[in-house]
Amino acid sequence: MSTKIKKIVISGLRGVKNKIELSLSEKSILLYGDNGTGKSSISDSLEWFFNDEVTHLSGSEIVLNDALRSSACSDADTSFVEIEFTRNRFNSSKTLTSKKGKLVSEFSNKDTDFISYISKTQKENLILRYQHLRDFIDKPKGEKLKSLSDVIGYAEVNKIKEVLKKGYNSLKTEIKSQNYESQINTQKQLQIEKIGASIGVEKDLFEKINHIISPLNLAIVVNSLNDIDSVLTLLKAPANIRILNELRFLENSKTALTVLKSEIELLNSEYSKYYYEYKKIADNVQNIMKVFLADLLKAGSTVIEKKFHKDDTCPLCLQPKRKDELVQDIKNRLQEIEESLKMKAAFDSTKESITKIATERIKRLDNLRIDNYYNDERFKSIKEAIEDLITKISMYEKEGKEKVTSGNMISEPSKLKLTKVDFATVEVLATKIDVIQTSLKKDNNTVTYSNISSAKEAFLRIKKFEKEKKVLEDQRASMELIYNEFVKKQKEGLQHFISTFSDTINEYYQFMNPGEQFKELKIITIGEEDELNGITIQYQYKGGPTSPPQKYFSESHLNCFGLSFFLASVAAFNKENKFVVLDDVISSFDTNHRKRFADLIFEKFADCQIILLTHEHEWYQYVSQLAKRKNWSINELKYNESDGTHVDDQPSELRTIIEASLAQGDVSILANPIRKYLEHLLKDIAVNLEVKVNFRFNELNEKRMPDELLNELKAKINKCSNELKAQMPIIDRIINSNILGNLLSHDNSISPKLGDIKAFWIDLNAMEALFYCQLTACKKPVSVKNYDTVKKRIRCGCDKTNYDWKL
Amino acid sequence: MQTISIYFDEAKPFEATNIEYLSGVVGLYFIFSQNTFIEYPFDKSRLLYIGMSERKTNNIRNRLIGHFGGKSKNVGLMNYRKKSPLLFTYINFDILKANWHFRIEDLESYFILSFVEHFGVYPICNNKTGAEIHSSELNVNFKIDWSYFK
Repeated sequence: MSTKIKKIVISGLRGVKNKIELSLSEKSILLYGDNGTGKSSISDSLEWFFNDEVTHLSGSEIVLNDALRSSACSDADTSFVEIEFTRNRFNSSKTLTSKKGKLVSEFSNKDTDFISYISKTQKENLILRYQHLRDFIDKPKGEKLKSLSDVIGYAEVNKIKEVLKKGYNSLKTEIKSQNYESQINTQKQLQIEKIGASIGVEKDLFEKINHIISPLNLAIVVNSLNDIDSVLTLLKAPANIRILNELRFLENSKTALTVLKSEIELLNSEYSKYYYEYKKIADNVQNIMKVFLADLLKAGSTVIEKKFHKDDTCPLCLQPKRKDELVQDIKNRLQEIEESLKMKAAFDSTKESITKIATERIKRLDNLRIDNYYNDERFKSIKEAIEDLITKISMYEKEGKEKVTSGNMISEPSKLKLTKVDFATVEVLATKIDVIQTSLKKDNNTVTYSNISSAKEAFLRIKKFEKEKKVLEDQRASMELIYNEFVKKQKEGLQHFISTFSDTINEYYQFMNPGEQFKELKIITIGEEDELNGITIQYQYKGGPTSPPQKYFSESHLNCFGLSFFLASVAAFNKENKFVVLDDVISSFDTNHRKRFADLIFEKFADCQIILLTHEHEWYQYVSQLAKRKNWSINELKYNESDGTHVDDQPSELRTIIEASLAQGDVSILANPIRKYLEHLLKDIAVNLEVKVNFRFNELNEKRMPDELLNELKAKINKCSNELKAQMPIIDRIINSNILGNLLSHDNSISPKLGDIKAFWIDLNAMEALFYCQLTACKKPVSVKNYDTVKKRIRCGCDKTNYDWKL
Repeated sequence: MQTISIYFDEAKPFEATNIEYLSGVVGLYFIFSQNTFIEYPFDKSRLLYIGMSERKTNNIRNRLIGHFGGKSKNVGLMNYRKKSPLLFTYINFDILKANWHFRIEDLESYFILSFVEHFGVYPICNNKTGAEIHSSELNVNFKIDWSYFK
């Protein structure tokens, strides 16, 4: 359910010294006020209520609360905005009170639903002022995108995309650092060495082993891995266990070192990349230091935007700083950091890669350390070679963990570079293995055992690597699929939204500019597939697409676009609220655009509650005709020194005030309301019955005393209507009333008796009943506009009330 | 002369997602049909093409992607792919480096000629072979499991 406003009361804010009360009852309102009468006091107060800010008061040297507070208020006064909504539970006032010399604001409604409503409302488009019409158009392309992204939540979606991308890249790095291809190759090389075949499929392994064991007549056919174990059990000679274990240790060591040897290039090239990125950043470490400030600056920006910190000081160091300057400084610094962030991302990627690769290699060599033969004195040289390698690779790891901001430079690649010389021990191992194998040659069973055992282990390792590789590759493929689909959907969603949004903007714009040369206005995204970097506004002009609007649009056209953009945003995004405040938005429009705008509002936003403020009198008169037909409230804002900004009360509101005061027996404030009500009533009757009075210029014409109108009304009735003449005592009772004399001679309070006032009010109502239809469905005045030329009678709208009438 | 049995790994569907992971791999690759058998002079086989990548910058991934996308202009492979799904497998050259002391181009020729010996003609989508290795120069004999493609 969308929210509308039932009543607004403002007191002690901006130009409102006393109290302004707008009883809207969910209806739209047209408020006219000459310059300086305080229209913006209303829009400022509403903006403060909903957004806790007033955009045009957020500039330099302005403390919002001080600027909001009416200068007429004393410390003891409470300034406030009080709003009654269609959703009663959101009714609240927001007060501004002086506490210990400081102005403090707070809502009276502390309910979580209300807090949530206000929070959601702040994301909606509720208030538009003339000076902000072109905000979107004048923004650079990137900021246009950001502005729109923030509103539609696209920025949040982008964050999810980044998380997916990070996950995808992390899997890629993992696959690369594991280097499964190389590990599998080494195992296959071992297989060739042992059984003269490289095997990755189980049935091929069984076939090969059956071929090997066939001369041994073991009476067993290998059809499973268990069968291979059975073969090994049959072949195993207890005396040779120690030699076989030694052989296994040597072969494992050789395999591990051979794999590592094949990865020399991988390690060196990854380290070189890392060194290059490290050096780039270390050469200008100040830039990268800024990157670490990005989070702080972003947090600072949020603190200011959300108004957690309101003073004109830096929220961190509390040094004096104008808020707008601070916001701009933060923005500039974040832009500078953007480049450094890209550099850091490239650096982080190489850092992660070299660290992971080195750590994984150390882990593989560590596995050799747990073998009992590793510390055997006979293999001391092998142990030393492996330890040297671990030390050397640990250097890659250590340098990979170096903090680039430490001021330390990491070792040049040439100093760490692994070479084939580091793997000389592979030859030593080969020789030792050869020696053992030669010694075993006479023992054919033992050789066969060793070969089959190694080939089987190699096969199992291959299967293990293949399985791990497949898991990671599948994950990577899934992540890639998810990422691509996400990007696709995200782009489709944005395109769909922008397309619909563009259509609405164009519809409103064309409505206000029919038959003009700028056609098909639309918002266009700029950027690559998944990296949008801006938005521009395009339109058809002289048969071709053109942008930006500033190129050919007049001031009036630009403002029309701004208005169309705002209204399209209202239609697209406002979900919580069904009201908007339009403060003097047509100031720079030409006459034609003004009329079209009024038509647009009444046609396209008929179900929306509009609070429309204007100082353009001609336009006000035009709109007020339409507004009356649409049952809007219409009112005027006035300003004088004693009351400040106040509303020129309309009869319906005056009636409410008068009746409430009479019911409470409070007659002290009735003077002005009753006088105003009587004046309104008489002027309206005079207009409808064409009661003529002496000519007066402009405003003086408005300031006629009731007795002048009453006398002319009597004269007109005497001349035109017998039936009304018969009712003349009702009018005479008004004229003869003492109260009327009081009203005419005093501007403020009356000190009459309550009974006299009640009697006067009854007479006044009786006079009103003479000239206005009392049927609720009609309520229209009896008017000469409704003259029946046949019956020669005047009537109300429905003909229930009618009188004879001589024209 | 040492004899080494050459078995092939499990085949993968000839699709871009499976090819993507072969970046940097140097070796021989074999493209064959999932269910179309070619009547070679001596025997039937599903093998269509034996190819080779000679260096990391022109690795198996690039070569296979070239065939997959049609960039290699091997019309035969493209048309067989239209007719029925293709599979592929590969042998990493590193595995045989210790035993094969010639260039990878020579290894490719060895495999193609071995195929000719067994089937009577080049694989149907191969249209050339590199320089022939004289058998007197070889110190290894590869016993290739051509039955894999049956």
